[in-house]
Amino acid sequence: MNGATLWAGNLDSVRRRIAYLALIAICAAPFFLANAFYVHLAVLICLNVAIVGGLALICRTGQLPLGHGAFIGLGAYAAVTATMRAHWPFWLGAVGGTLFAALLAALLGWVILRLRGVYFVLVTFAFAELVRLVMLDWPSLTGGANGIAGIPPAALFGFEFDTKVRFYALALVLAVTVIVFLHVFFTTPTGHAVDAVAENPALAEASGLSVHRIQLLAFSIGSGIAGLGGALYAHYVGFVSPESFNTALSVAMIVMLVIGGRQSVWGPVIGALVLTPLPELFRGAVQTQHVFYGAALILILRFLPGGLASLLARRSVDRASY
Amino acid sequence: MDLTTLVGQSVVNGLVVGLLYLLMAVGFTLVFGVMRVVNFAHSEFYMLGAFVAYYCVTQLDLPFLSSVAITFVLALAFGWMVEWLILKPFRHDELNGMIATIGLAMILQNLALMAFGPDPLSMPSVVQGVVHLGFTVVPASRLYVVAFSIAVLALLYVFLRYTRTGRALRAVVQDVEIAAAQGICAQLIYPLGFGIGVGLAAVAGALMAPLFSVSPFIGAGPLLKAFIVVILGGLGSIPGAALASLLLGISESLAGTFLSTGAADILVFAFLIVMLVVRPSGLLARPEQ
Amino acid sequence: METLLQVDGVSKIFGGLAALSNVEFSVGRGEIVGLIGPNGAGKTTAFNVISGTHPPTAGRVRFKGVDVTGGPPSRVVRLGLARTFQATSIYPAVSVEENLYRGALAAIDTGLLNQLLNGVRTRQAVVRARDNVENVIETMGLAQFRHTLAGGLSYGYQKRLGVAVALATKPELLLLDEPAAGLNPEESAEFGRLLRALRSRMNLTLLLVEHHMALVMDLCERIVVLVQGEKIAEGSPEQIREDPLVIEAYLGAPEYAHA
Repeated sequence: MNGATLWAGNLDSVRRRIAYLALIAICAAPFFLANAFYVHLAVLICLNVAIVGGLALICRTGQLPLGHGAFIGLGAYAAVTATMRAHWPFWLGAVGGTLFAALLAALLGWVILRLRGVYFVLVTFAFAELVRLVMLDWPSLTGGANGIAGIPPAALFGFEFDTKVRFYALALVLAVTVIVFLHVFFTTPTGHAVDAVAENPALAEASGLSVHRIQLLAFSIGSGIAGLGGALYAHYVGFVSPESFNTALSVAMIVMLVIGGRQSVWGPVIGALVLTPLPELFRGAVQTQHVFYGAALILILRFLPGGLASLLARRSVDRASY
Repeated sequence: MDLTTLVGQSVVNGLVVGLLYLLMAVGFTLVFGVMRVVNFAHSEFYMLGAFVAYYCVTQLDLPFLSSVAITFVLALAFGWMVEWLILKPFRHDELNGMIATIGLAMILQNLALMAFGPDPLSMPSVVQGVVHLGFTVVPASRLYVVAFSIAVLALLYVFLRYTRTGRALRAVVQDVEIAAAQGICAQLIYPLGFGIGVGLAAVAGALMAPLFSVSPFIGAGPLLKAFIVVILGGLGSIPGAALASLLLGISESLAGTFLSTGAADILVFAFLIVMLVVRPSGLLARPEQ
Repeated sequence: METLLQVDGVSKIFGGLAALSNVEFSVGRGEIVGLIGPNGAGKTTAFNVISGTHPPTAGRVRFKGVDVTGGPPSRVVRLGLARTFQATSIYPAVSVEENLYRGALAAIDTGLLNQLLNGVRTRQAVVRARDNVENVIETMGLAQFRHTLAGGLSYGYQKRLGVAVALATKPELLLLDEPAAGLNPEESAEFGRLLRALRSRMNLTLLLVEHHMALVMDLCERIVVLVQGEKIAEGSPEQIREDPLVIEAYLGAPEYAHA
């Protein structure tokens, strides 16, 4: 048995079409729901899909960033500062937040990605803590521990996304864009290079691929996407504080990615879908929820390292088409 | 309070904190050296150690020294079990092992929250009074901690240097394949290494419990500092960690006394980044060849 | 003959031990040169220095006249110098075809935006890479394994694939680190024929580290001998075979006497 797909022929395309139709139905449902809370969940799921998608890009190069939450926060604070102090339009603030996060990631990554992978984890962890402390310690810019409230809703060309349903449309567009981007990215030559770097970095380097450059690219783009998610989040919830973006958030993103699946573009989708609503199931029993997360993480790593997404596609990691 | 007393107290506080960081960092480096895993649950063993000491002293009325010893033994046993039951599949799998310890940390911290609640508990001091040390005045309890920490580290040094098991541990850290070829039973060394490593963290927690408060959240700070120490000192270098932790503790303490804590943290991090650019293999290691 | 590789006074010291001491030799275009010596002589270290994996403690490496001392390896490869590793250097989790494609990727240097939009320049570069992959598959006799996962190949074919991946980078000079290790005499001889064919079909220059004396003596036009980090001899196979220093240090051992 070689690496060819086990799902061959017409059955596959019928199944595929049904799956995509179901997906479209799920995505459209919040527009028709009466219960605002479910729409709110849908918004959060979409934002998480995008942010975890950014994380997935970084992890596909073989690195594990433990400061993703900080880049969400950096994007959020930068965007909010732009829209509230400099009175930029929302879209420009969001772009600013994205670029700010990406730039900081590029600077940090340039220094630490030359080192062993272990150092990357430790330094991103320390960096996230530093960001949180700076946010706490700079009230004139960030509002300190009180954070920033009264953030205006997102708006494009005068149209305000001030209801949950309206914002859901925006969040959905973001989530779909990120997933499509990931899919296309991994079909490009650079995408193939990313997989090469993750599987055998020494060989990749010896084949002319600059491991450092590729990991830096992924880290910058992935962190930029996190920043964009943060910018949107801020203009949805209307409030940000340093504690919104602490290590617990970074860990939650990692949990979503690992359980969803690190090797598939559907991983972030499944992870966000499954884990975002969970706090509702565990309502009131936050600690039990987290014990469950920890146990699920270990079990997935042990028995299903490709995450839940690997149950979907029973084909090997083989790129026959390029 | 005059300047010399202030500086003197800062330095002693820094020394205390530095020794705490060192205990954490040594245990952390040991676990990494043996299993090639970054142990994110290290902080939770620190926290559990503090709780065990707390209960021994306040509920069981045991003397402090015995409590610390019991803490170490319990942590060693618990760590052994955890490694054997949970972490075994991830030995030498750097990436997934790291994520598994994140899961473990979540489990341990939240179980502690469920068992003990979030409120901080305070433990009575080990010893009362102050000591006059040259031109400065220091609480005796802090000197106690310094003495105990040094004793623990000395014991560890003797163990690693002069006992068969200790040398076996060091051999595995150096090169696991050669160690196996020499007949060292890796199946025993892994849980032992992990157990001793987290045992050290628990001892640090126990020693610090009378000085700071005891709650399920106390592990986060020391973990971060252990990371910084290990980066500065070079992963795997114990003398490097020693130098780095003392420097870090003292400079943090001084900066915290004379500047704001925020500024101190920023300075530390900036120094870290500079070190990584200039000397990535650590303070004492030779430059990468 | 044009000098392709120039190694000048290269020394490499690891923790007080001199792995290489003032090593100097050159490789001319179109040559097949062998680098031999007992274990621990520093041959792989020499490869690591030449390919830029490790910087030397002293000395310079020049490739096509360009100073490539210190690497990084990806830069050296882009100039046309590729190497294989002693351990099989493949991507075990993907197909042979994908392995080779990854080797050919470095030549695709269009920007990410162009790639995402599947612009003309990217499509052209991908076509060129695909043609390159086909060429290598044919030359190295891997057509039957095109879709096989590299990890599932036999040891001999994995080593062959390792060489193929290096070939996909379109090198002018190929460094081969013990390519015949683990091969029986028959496989080894076939490998020698393959290497000669490679040299002519792909305009390659070869520098190889080998212990298979039969292969070395048969294949190489010139041989450099390293012992304990120092070059003790250099010359044609006949000269090396008769050199007393070499015989004493290396060839004198019974298992090499028949070479």
